[in-house]
Amino acid sequence: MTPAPAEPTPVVALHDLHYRWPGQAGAGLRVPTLTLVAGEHLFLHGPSGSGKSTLLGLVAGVLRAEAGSVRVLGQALEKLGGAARDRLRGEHMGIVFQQFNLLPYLSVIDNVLLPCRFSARRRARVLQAGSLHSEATRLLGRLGLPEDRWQKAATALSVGEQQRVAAARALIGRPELLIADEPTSALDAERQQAFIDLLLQEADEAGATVLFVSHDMRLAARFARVASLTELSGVAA
Amino acid sequence: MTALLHTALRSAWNRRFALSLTLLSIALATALLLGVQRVRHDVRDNFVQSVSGTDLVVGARGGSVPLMLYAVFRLGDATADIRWQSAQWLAQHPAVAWTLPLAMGDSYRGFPVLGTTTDYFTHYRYGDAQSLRLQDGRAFGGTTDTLFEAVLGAEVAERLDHRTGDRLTLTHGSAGLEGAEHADKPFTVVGVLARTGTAVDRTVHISLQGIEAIHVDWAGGMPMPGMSIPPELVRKFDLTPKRVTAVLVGLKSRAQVFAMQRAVAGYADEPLMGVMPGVALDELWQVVSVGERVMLLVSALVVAVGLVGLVATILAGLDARRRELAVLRAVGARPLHILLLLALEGLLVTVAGVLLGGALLALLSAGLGPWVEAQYGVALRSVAFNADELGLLAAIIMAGTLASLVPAARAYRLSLADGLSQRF
Repeated sequence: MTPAPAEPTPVVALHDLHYRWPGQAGAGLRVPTLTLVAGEHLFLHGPSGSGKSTLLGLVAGVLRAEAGSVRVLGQALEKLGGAARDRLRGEHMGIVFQQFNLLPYLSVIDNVLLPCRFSARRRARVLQAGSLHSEATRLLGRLGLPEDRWQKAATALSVGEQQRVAAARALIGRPELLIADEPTSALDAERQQAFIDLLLQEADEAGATVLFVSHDMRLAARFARVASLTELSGVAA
Repeated sequence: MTALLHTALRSAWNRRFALSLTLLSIALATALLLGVQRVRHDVRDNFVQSVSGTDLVVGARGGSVPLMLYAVFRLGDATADIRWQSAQWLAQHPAVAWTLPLAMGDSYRGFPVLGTTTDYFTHYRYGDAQSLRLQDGRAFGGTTDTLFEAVLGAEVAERLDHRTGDRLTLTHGSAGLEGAEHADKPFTVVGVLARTGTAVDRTVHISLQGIEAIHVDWAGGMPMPGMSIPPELVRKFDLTPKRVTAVLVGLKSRAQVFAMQRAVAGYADEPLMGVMPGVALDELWQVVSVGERVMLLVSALVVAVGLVGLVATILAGLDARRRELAVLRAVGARPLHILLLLALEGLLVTVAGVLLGGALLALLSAGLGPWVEAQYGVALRSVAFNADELGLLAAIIMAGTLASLVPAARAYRLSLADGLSQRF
């Protein structure tokens, strides 16, 4: 457990967080404190049902805590309206889901460019360095997706390839925070590590802080910091 | 907004098979609604076009609508006629500028035969006070030497491929019964009228004496047994018409129309009736407007069914798209964006359906127009959409947009509830 450091603005700072699932009795999710500083890679471990996805939802600003504070890049989410939270997420966060990351009706390139359609900031950042298309293909190339896949429909790709596209999408426009929710659980074991290596490498390249949740402790090896949600919250899973 | 439109377009294209059926049903419903509206409009237009400059239509006392139908539109059969003396009286009345006596009842291959005088070609007006024009040949002579001359309306000539010099055998009555032909007294086409877009186009015009001549050896709608008078001999008979079906009357001054109407109604020798075409048309519209409203209501319901189909299709697809909504939320889409996305999709399908329906109708009226004109005498000639029709199209699109808000609102609630969790 890391005490809140007296450093410049942390990327994520949770304080006395309490969330109760709607319509469910019980204690809900409690996180007394959790802080991520810029550039940090945190592997957050927790068994199924321990509230990992809920925590990500709270950080991403789609769920609202019952009590306590969630600060992202210095902004207290509980003080922001829905639209402002959505904008914050679109501009500063990249999110990779477990699977089904891609819109089936868009090409691979268009899927990667999706955040640039909703966030002017990320679009502007990409355009500073070159064209939208060249940045999308650069990221896809870095993440090892063969060029012949770039113009294909997202559904024509294997699960592993889809996850790479999702990673490229999460990283385009250099968001400050990369949130990954079990992104490797649909991959076979030998590809999991390779994917994580690529993801972390590119996150470093983009200067993104990484919040990675998984139930699989075997994946924790490459992370500088590992935490257990159960220990963090002390909740009975 | 462009991002949403692009996404909505791609998303709709991805589900084009399900959506295209919905689109088709909206297109058909649109074509139906617009078609009903257009036929209604064109029929009225046609009827109004058919009478111009006629102040009174005089016939036997009865319904004014039937009188108009057979005298002006040449639809249906005349049920009663008037004596020639009555027509003479009208012609000599001081308030009357001109009269056109009309004798009907025969037909030529389904087209009505009209017996009249040569004045018809000078006094008859249609549309915007236009007079008749011959595109070929001349008017019938109207004398005993030119008894068997006929002038064809443009549609008759075109449909039956007749030109001047052709010979016609008229049929007694309009039903075209076997054995009821005036085969012994064929007529010769001497002229063809230019197209008017009115009932004139479907009419075979002959002289009143011609009508008389083909019926001298007939009685009670049958050729008299054992009696046959050849055309050469028929001229020796008195061919003054004995009865006519109706008389179109033009007055010297329109202001006298009510006085004349009263004079006609008060005519002592025979019960007569004078009908003002405009008033009779209004009466006719009142009769048909009930039917029209039912037709409009039914087609509006068909449109509603199409839109309900649209809502059902989008709603049914929504549950399978909850992951998609989560992905959009993850990249910064607001729930409002999700709402707009779904509403746009419905709007796109509706607009495409309405456009397709409009095109379908244009094609149908171009394709079926000539047939409808030949069969029913109604010229469907509107090509462009008029303001009313554009209003209807806009109303369908509005209704489609409102209907699309149903799945859109559900998507909005789902995206708020689901957030980033990919439930399915």
